[in-house]
Amino acid sequence: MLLPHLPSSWAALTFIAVLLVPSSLSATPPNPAAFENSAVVRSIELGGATTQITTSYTVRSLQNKNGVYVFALSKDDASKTSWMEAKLKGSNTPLELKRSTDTDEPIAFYELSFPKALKNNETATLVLTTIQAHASEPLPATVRQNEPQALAYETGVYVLSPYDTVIQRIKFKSPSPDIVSFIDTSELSKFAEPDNKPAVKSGSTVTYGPFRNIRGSATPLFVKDEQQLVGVHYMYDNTVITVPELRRSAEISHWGSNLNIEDKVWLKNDGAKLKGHFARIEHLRQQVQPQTAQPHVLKDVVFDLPANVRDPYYYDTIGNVSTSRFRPATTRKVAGKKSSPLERLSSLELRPRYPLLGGWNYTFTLGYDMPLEDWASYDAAQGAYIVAVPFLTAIPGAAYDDVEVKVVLPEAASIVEVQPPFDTDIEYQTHYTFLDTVGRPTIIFKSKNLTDKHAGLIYITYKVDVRAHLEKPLAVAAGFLGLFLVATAFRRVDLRIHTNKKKQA
Amino acid sequence: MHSYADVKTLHATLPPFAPLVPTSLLPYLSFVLLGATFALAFFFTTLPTPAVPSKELGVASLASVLAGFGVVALFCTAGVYV
Repeated sequence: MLLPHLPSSWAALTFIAVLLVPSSLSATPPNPAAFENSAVVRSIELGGATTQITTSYTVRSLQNKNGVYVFALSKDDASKTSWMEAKLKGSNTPLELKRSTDTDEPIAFYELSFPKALKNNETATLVLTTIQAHASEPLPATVRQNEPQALAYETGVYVLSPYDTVIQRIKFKSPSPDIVSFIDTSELSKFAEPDNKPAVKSGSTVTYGPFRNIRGSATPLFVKDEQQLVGVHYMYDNTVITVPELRRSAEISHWGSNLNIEDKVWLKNDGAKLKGHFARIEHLRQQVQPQTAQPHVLKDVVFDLPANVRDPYYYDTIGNVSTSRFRPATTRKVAGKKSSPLERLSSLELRPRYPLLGGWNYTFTLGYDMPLEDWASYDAAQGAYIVAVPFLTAIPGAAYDDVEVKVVLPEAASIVEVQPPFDTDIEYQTHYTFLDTVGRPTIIFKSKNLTDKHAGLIYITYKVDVRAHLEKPLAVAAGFLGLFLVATAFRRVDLRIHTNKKKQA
Repeated sequence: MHSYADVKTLHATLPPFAPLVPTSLLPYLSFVLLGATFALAFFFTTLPTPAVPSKELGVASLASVLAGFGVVALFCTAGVYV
């Protein structure tokens, strides 16, 4: 099928490339005549470690029974994207979104299935929300201790789409009106209206557009020839937090009716690196005179833990860290109704041993216990338990690079089903700990490039029969019985020293 | 195989987990069971030693079983949730 916008050599190459794609991926390129984008508005909320992009596509179907719409992202954008969700405007249910191209393709296509196929000339508004991690760079890369921090974000100005777009614009929303500069070139007037300035700053929003009549742009040729890089350089008064590594271990105990969560966290301040030395006196001066304080220094982190958390512990390689404040919360007990431990949140404020300036790291271990009644249910029909384990505790605006969650089930449990909140690598192992004989089945979830939107619940269905419950006490009983048997044998051995009076005579 | 949404509703509507022994009783249970184990162990040392140790083994088994449950209850009371 020849695509009318591409030169014939490109079309032939695309056709052959399509044939070579393995059958597991959807190999058909999107049909550009299926839809028309009446209006596309991309809104980029500039942040620190994460950036939220909301694109609204008002589409008009050009065919009958149109059930699939294809989004396009450049390879760069797709590699930075860590979370993506598409909805129909006004609805709260996310629609099924599937990536239909390999990761090394120059344009990434995502197929969306409409809940109800569109008829000819029917319109719909789709809202695509994506979160990018590490998309803003500190500029300047290093700042002194008493200087403020600024970040820069760059992206292509035209929203890529396989379909023709009548009108589109792109908006950058900075957290404060303090914008240092934004890119504005004469190349931007190609698709812009002749009398309007293509780039306009108003308060804390920079708007590029409107751009009219851009034909199907989801091709490498468009990206090379027409796409323009635009960006905003903005002051950022918050901390840029990255968690390069997070190792979570969740242990379920049936005898103690307890769920213990232990996090080994590597925290990093990913903002502008410190230039020169850290002067403690300057740091103290900033604390005493708040008007000189630089807010991008990471002084404490607040973890919002579920309700009914007890006995939190916080230590690092040196030992216990006492600079923490725990404000517990309990669930309301309403008769006849099961309360969710996520309705009210406990607050654990952790202060690292030292303030984290730009580029500094801190590793620590945080753990707490939660009653298992809040997190596990019993399914009498299956004879199995269903437990919900939180994947990670969200630090607002933080980017997580490498996360591993280990869930340790009770001894001699048998796993029925495992449902992570999103696609992850799953491994199975056996873990041995106190009073274990056969070991505990362990499930390890590994994932990279996550954000605080990935703080969902893992559901695990497992069976522990009564005999398995008795595994532990009987193991200890066997140990004691062994000691008693040794005692029984020793009681029959005579170790007294005998004096033989007859032989002496 | 259930879908994620199905398991989520199932988990929310099913009765919550209830341990075999209520956790509030565990400290007292551990005290009573380990106390009994201690007493039985002393009693064991006073028993006669015939050729067939039937009474000794009987007392030993009872003491071991009580000790098994007592130690598990003790670990849970101490905060090591086994």
